[in-house]
Amino acid sequence: MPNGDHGDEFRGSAVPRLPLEPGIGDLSSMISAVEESDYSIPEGGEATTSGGGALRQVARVFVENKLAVVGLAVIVFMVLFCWLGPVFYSTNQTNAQQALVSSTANTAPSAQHILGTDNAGYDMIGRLMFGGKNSLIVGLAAAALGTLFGALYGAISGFFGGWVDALMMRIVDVLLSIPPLFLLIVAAVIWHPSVLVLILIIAFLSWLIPARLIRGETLTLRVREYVQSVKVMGGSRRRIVLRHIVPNAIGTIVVNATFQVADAILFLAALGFLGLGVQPPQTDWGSMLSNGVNYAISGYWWEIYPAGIAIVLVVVAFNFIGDALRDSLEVRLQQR
Amino acid sequence: MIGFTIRRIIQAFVVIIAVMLLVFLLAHVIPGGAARAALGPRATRLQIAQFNRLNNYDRPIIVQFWLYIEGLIWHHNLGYSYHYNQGVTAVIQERLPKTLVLVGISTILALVVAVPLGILQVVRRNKPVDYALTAGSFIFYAMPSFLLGTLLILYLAVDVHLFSVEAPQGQTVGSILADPRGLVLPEVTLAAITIASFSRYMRSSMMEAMTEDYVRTARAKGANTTRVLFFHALRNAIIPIVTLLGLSIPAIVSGAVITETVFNFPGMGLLTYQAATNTDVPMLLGTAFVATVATVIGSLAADIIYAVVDPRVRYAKR
Amino acid sequence: MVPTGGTKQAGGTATWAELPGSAPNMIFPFDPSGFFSVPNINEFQYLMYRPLYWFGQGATPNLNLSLSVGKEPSYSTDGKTITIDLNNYKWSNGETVTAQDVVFWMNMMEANKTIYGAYVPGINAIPDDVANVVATSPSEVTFTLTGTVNPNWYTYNNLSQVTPLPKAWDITATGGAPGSGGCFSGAYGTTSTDAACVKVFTFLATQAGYDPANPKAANNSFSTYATNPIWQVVDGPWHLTNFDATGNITMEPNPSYTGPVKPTLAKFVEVPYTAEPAEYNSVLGGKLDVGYLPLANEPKTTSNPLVVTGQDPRLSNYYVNEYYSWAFSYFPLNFNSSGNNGVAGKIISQLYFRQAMQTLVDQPDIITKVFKGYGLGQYGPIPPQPPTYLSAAAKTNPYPYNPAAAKALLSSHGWTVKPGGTDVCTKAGSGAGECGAGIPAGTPLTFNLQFATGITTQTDAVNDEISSWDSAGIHINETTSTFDTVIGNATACTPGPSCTWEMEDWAGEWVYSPDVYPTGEELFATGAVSNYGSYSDPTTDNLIKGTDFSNQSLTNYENYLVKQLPVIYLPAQVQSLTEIQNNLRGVTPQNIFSALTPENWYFVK
Repeated sequence: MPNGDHGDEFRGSAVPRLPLEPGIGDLSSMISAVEESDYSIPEGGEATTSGGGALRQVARVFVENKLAVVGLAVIVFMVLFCWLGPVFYSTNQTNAQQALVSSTANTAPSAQHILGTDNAGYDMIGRLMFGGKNSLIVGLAAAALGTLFGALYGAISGFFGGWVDALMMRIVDVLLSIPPLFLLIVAAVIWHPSVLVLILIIAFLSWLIPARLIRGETLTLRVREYVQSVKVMGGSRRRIVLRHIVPNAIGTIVVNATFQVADAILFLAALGFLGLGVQPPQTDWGSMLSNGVNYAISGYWWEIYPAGIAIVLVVVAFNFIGDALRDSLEVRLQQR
Repeated sequence: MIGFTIRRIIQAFVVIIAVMLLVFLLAHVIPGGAARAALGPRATRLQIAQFNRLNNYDRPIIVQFWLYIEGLIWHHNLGYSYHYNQGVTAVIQERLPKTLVLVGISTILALVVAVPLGILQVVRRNKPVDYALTAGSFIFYAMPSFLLGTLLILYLAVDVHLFSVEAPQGQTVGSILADPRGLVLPEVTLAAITIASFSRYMRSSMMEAMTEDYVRTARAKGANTTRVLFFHALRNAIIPIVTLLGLSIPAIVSGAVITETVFNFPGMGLLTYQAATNTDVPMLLGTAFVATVATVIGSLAADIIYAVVDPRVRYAKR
Repeated sequence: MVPTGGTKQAGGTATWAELPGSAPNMIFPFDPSGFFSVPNINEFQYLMYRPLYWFGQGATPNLNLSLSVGKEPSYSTDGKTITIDLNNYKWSNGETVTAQDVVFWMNMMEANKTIYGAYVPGINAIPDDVANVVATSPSEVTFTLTGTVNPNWYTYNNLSQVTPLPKAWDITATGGAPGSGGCFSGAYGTTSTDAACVKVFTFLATQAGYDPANPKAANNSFSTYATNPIWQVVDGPWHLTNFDATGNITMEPNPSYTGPVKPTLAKFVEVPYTAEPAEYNSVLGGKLDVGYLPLANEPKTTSNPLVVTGQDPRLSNYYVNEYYSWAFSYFPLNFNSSGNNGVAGKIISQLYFRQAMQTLVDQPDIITKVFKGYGLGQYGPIPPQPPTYLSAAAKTNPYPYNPAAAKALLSSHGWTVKPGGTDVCTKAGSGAGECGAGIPAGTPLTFNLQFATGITTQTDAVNDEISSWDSAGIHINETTSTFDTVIGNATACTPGPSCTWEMEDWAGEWVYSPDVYPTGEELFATGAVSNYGSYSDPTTDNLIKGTDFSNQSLTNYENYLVKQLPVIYLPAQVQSLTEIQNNLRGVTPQNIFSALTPENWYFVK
């Protein structure tokens, strides 16, 4: 049987972020439950409309921040390992009968299986590659989907303001008040966990924070003069949202998304531990870990350390990158 | 201020009702249904029909929800769990104090460790200590709690009988607190991850506070570093600590499913998980209610404290 | 290997591990549906309230008269009258266990049979076929039945449900005078007795925490289990001294026990667990006297399924014992399924298809590789251990693992076999060599199987089977879910839009208790209570009737069902690799219904 704890304590985001601006209500993802509409509007700077500038900024981040480079390297390595790895090191990962017949379960690392086999007889390295695909796909897709939807939701809500904004944010409040692990468990019990369902469920939890953040940003920008002038010049609402608000919020979105990926991977691991993750013969690092925990006590260390290290490495890598991006965003904003 | 508070309280009520409705709908969609889960594989069709009638499952869902809310508000009755053969309230009353102790202690522990760590990281900013602590907190944060818990049990309780393999099994708060050998490992597991994020947060908000204009003014006036640090920055960083506490309340009340499973501690987290997997609808709703109320109260408290403490916030307008 | 040597000590406290998530939750031995379970009955109630007949002699399921309250039942030649003499048992309040106590139970059962957890309607079993039951003397009770029965079936499956209840429980309010309820001495089957018994049952059940008329009435009875004087009236070797809401139970010897073996221990404690690894950690930490080794953690594969050959080296102060429970492993197929465009049920109804599926279950391989050798081949509905009930035909596998044969079966019935893919019906029709009635050409041979996760070995076994079916083109879409969802979905239904489940596997077995004589009237008779797949076959019905109501032996029924495959049979997994502290003896042999007898246990020095 049996990140859940991460989900219990913090609203689906990793290490709390630095406030985007000093002294604002929009303190950080973690304080997102705080009622924003009653606090001061973030004092952001002018929105930049050039996308090219943002890209250059991002590139500079990686040049300056060593940890971010390390993080990126780790992620690239993992992606290559999981997708290119099986090309060079091909193992059976789906046929349970064959796994049982051709190899012995729970064997220690040997020449034939460099990291040993798991309880069903699958090769561990192959399992790492196979499971890594699911962990990374679910992590990235859930974060991307959640952040995208959340950003749009927040932008629309902040832009329209008034009762539309109030209603939309109350919905976010309600959803934020549901204990996240509770929602995950019930959703996984109702809708049989498959990769797609897991992406949707985790994304459903992830969109709430970006919605609040972007809405905060939007509120700021709405009153900025250049937006007023665009309106005066007859620019459409859609134009304002897409061409002015969103690009400026990109910084926030990207930073948040990076941390969401890390959280999503941890959520998936927690679900796997509770038996509600992907179904065999599919696997993910969290399910591998949860399986392995049963066997660690028998001394089969190779069934937990590889998956555990993989999760820790990838989550830390995303956190490094997110941290670096956020630091640079900070700097950029303070330079205005 | 009063108006603000009253408005927030009303909103809190609305949120609780809305959440309960959502959870109610979800709980009734769990496939397989509550009847078979409660009565077991040998239940006859007649018994299932009787069960559904007795528990109102055959009525429209809005009626069921109304009956549930009515029972909740007027009779303080959260229903009955077949699986436990007890009233939901009784089970929760029995488990809640235990969870409060387990998670509460770890949260306090986390605060006590995280605040000095955060300060240390600011004072020794960008020195090796800072990097080491940052690396440590990143790693602990990224580690799934069941991994940490299992490794701790393996190395410190099974291989070496330093600590107990499971959390205290006593039924009363007193007996739990009287078993330190059993408390240490689960508390360490829970606290490690909390400390990791609390200290990162302390570090960044302290650093933020250090760059505030008023701090720079104080230093320009010649106040020494320690004074500046403790009297100005720390005081302002207390706000986030308080908010952190307020937002930790939901976790303290809902428990930590994974740690409870690993350490065999039957608390609120495990109760929720088992209720979901056993299709124990009343228990599921009961735990959701408790958790939601805690969350709403936590964020309400955080809001109010924040509004009280930061005058800039109070006077802000839309 | 049970250690020997040492001198027997009096006293001591023995701690026993409950299975994860299986804490007892009902003390009243007349268990309503939902509470009728092994943890409640065999591992809790039986220690305090002795059943009329005790089953489990050594490692067999046979009637054990030495532990029964009743002596061997005597059936009249026409099979319609049963006379039961009682042994001398006493209740702890001084009263003797009398024949009227048995009548009390029967009155309770007759009045409340629809709530009773083991009631099987529609087949004329107890209490439907009991015309009258009377205490002809204080120590003799006589049953009069409505028709002839097979004595073996009746004793093993019907009388097995009876537990004598004390007159002190015939009350409808706390402090009422014993016998004031009117159910104890009422005449069996009359309206007034029934009415009285409903009241008494409601009162007692509410005292135990469950109000059948109003379940929501908040209660917190667990804290009263150990103190309520009602539950302290026991005739078994133990009485309850502590019971808490999480499942910690303490029992102490009943000084008035008159049965054959009096307890040596001073205390018996049951401890709850939330998950298997936690229990195993406890064993490793030396905190349990009787625990178990999860099969997944068994280090060595054994060549003899009945002998434990490997032991975790860290458990040097434990010895291991194993037993198989009196149960059979299977999963049902829905003969009425409307899945796969309404065709699923029709394909399942074809015997050749079920034969192909069974032929692809590689039982020896699963036993060796997944169960580490701790498993037995099972080819019919009769439990394989002990093999005394197995007919010759059920001892060998009529459908041994043979992928080629499976493919041949399918191709010779009009299917184009695509190994690793999905077979397609190319010859529709109901003639020879054709797919079968109602199966159109082009139908893909694909099914949805939902199985319950939680037990690693069972999950591995199912995945192995799925790959196996896949190799013959029987494409199985697997989904996982919780145990409760799976049994919730596996209900008997009539063909229609809501009857879409095709295969459900809850990774559990059917434990033959209280239906100890495995005649299958609850599982395979048309419309039977637990016939989830709606299997219906007149020959089966006749065979079952024969074993229940006449002297037909089980063999014909067995041989037929082995061939008929009403469900898919799976290899039996060992029930428990029990770890017992070296200095605790008397625990073995273990009862195959998991009934606990700690009065036999003792510590040595």
